[in-house]
Amino acid sequence: MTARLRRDPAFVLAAAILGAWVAVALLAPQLAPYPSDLQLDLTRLRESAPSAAHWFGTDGVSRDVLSRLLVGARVTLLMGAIAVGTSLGLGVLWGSAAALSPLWLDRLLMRTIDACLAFPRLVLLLSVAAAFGQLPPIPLAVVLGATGWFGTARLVRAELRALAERSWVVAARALGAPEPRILRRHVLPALVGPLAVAASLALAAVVPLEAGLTFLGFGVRAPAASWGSLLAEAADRPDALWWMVLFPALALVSVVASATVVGDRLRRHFDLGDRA
Amino acid sequence: MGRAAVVRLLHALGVIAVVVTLTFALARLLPGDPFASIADHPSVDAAWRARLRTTYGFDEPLLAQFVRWCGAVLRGDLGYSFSAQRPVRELLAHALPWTLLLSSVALTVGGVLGIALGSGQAVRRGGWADRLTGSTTLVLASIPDVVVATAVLVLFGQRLRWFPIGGATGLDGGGAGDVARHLVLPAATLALLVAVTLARFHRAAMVRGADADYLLAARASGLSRWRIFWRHALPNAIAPTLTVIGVLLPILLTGTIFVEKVFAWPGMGSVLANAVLARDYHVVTAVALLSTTAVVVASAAIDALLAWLDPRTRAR
Repeated sequence: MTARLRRDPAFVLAAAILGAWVAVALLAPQLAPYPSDLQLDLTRLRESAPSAAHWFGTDGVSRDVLSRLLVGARVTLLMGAIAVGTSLGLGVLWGSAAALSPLWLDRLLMRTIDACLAFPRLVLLLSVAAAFGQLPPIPLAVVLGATGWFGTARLVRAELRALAERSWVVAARALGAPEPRILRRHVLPALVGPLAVAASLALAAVVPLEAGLTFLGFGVRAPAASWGSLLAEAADRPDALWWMVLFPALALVSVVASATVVGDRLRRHFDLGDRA
Repeated sequence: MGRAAVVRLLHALGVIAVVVTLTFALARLLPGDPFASIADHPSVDAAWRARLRTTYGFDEPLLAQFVRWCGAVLRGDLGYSFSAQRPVRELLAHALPWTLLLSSVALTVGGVLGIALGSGQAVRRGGWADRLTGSTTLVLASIPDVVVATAVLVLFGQRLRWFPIGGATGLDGGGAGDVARHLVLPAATLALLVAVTLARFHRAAMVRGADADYLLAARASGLSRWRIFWRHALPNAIAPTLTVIGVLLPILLTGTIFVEKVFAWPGMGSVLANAVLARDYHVVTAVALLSTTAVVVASAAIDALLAWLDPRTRAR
């Protein structure tokens, strides 16, 4: 990371917020004031508004919402990471396959991507949900990632095609460097920037998607708790249970906005223009 | 323009062909079939189950099924909805106008608002208004669609009681005025979602064009700020923004599904969500096919519009 990025306050703040959430997710059980699954007092503490003892209030079965939010960060961020990893992996595989293919196969692979990009992502996800019914969080995250890699594939192909013509790659080839070495030393390092951009923007897309999917009833399901499922628990009476909407929503916004800013700044830094 | 248009049309048809194949694959290669819930019920006799599958052709080879399915789709036969107990076409014919009404109003209002906001930001680039609008749109764009919809519903529907909060008509099914009142909240929510995303892209497009030679020349020749903006900066930023609208369409559709669900708007999104809950394949496939085709057609239309607006894209 270079000095220019480090001096950009928006980038630093956004990266710090993301880092802080990762730390929170790792330390959640230690940070949470109460065990997140403990029903504290079913008779007196149900659906109580925020107070000194329960900063973010309690839910319908008297669990502490702050504790559930902190522990929920684990599910939300882990699912986000798995989804992003899946979509980057698939995108890199497909994109490099297309870049290395003969022209006709390249065309076919990219037309398929065009078609996939025309699928509204939620429709695709709902089709899968219709087929499999409820999925546990980790397979669900894989499915989320598997519906979001088309743009990455296009980006990787474009970058690889452009890189193959770059002077340093041509020079390395002219000097007789073996192909695997060219790939490792000259091509892959140049892909890191575009992929970092794609990863941040993919995270910004997938986190609210998980929340929305859970809200519709197709996502994370009890006993697992994500920020989306906290929202979903308040879905029927959002007015009365405002603290169960507001705080998870703020958490979601902080992650998504930070990931967007990181992606934007990295894109500008690596001078990607409209490509990612 | 003729040759380019033909190429573009063939491209769109090719994409639709791939979409049709993928939709079929999605519906048939995933576990279960439309009869899974009915026919695999333990009380159902094995012979009857087999006959049901033969009647609807589920025992034929996949390729034969595919050909038959394509033929049916071309004739406009989208299958039968087992959960709604009526042909899918009928179901969608009822829902489609509602979705078209909602999304066209939202896209128009949100599109104009987004372009206005983005332009305003770009003109006063770096000022406090630009930064304030920029952070506001960033935060708004980062809120999950369902939360935005829920917040609008609680605030304007439940607390302030300005507008009705669910459905498209009152119980007595009033006229246009009634529909318009029901339309306000879902359309405003969707327009907001469109506007905040578009404003960010449009500002970027205007800023990227800001250093162009023709703008420098316009400034140097002493044209007013206003004239430069309307005659030179805006028209040149419209092309990338139109392209973005094309890319945004699938995202708009996703937003439509969430918004329709929250406001119980009787459109395609609600139909889809209910069909998924009932695992009603024919409906899911039909909605996927229809929405994707709509996106392909719309983006082809946008390309045609771009070619008409910008002669440079015609040459390629």
